[in-house]
Amino acid sequence: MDRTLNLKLSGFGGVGQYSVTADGEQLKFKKNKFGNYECKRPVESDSVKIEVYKYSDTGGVWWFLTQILFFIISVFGIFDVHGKKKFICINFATTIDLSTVPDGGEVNVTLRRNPPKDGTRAIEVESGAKATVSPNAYFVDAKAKRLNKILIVSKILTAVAVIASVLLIIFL
Amino acid sequence: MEDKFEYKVQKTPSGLLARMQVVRLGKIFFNLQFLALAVMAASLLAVFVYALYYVLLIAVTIISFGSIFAIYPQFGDLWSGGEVLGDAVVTLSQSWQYTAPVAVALAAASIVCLCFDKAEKHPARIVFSCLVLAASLIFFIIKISTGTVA
Repeated sequence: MDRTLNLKLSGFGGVGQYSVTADGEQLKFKKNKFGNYECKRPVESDSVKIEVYKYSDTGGVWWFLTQILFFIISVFGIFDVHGKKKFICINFATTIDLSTVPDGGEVNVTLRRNPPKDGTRAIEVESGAKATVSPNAYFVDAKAKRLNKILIVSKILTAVAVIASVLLIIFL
Repeated sequence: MEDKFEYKVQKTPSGLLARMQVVRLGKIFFNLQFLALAVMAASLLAVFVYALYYVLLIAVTIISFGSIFAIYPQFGDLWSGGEVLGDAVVTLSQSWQYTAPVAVALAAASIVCLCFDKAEKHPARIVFSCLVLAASLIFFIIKISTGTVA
């Protein structure tokens, strides 16, 4: 049995920060003229599992040190990029049942992203075949949020240390 | 049909995380450009600051019909204070030697870093950086070729 899955992402902005997989395989998308992302994929089995994750921009030790460096380069954050961080991630999986789709047929699936809000449904599925969705939620990355609090304290300490060093150099 | 949510944070691939940081650095460089541009503009307009100082003193004298010298006896000293201001203006007017190359470097670095972003394009930032790069480079070359280096 060979069918084609036509997957469309709507309201995703850029797909670079998202990981979209079909049966564990990373998908590559092309942007269409309406700003949506499209992908065609042959499917041999009777079902296909589509998963979506949003990558976090927080990381490990190197990320932490980079943030401190950026803080100094951007003159204590004055020239840095400002914006409220929400640390919201997506956890979404859907299984599309293709058993009713004839051999050589195509199935259109559209994933429409909702505005991000903690605990709400992340994505709406529009499918030509039966779709089972689980899980489907926006959630706050608690680890990233905690790390950001530590980062803020570290930035304050860095600022104090830098100012104290400069004052010492000037007056001693 | 929807089951209980299974919260799972996907580990960001190191390449993607590095790219995100490079793009952020590009945005910082872009913002810093404005500081370099402001100092460069100040060095261009420095001579006007000197002139403006005396225009202001003349204006105050005319408006007060000269009575300012009686009201504020130290007003006469301000006229010679222009020499001190003149030194500062000369220093500021020569600052382009440092700010122009810095602006060029920041604009170039900003363009390179922003081009790393695969998720989002930054046409406005890149075009503006290109303009700053070209303007700063032309300004620097003209200044060098006319031998205005102190």
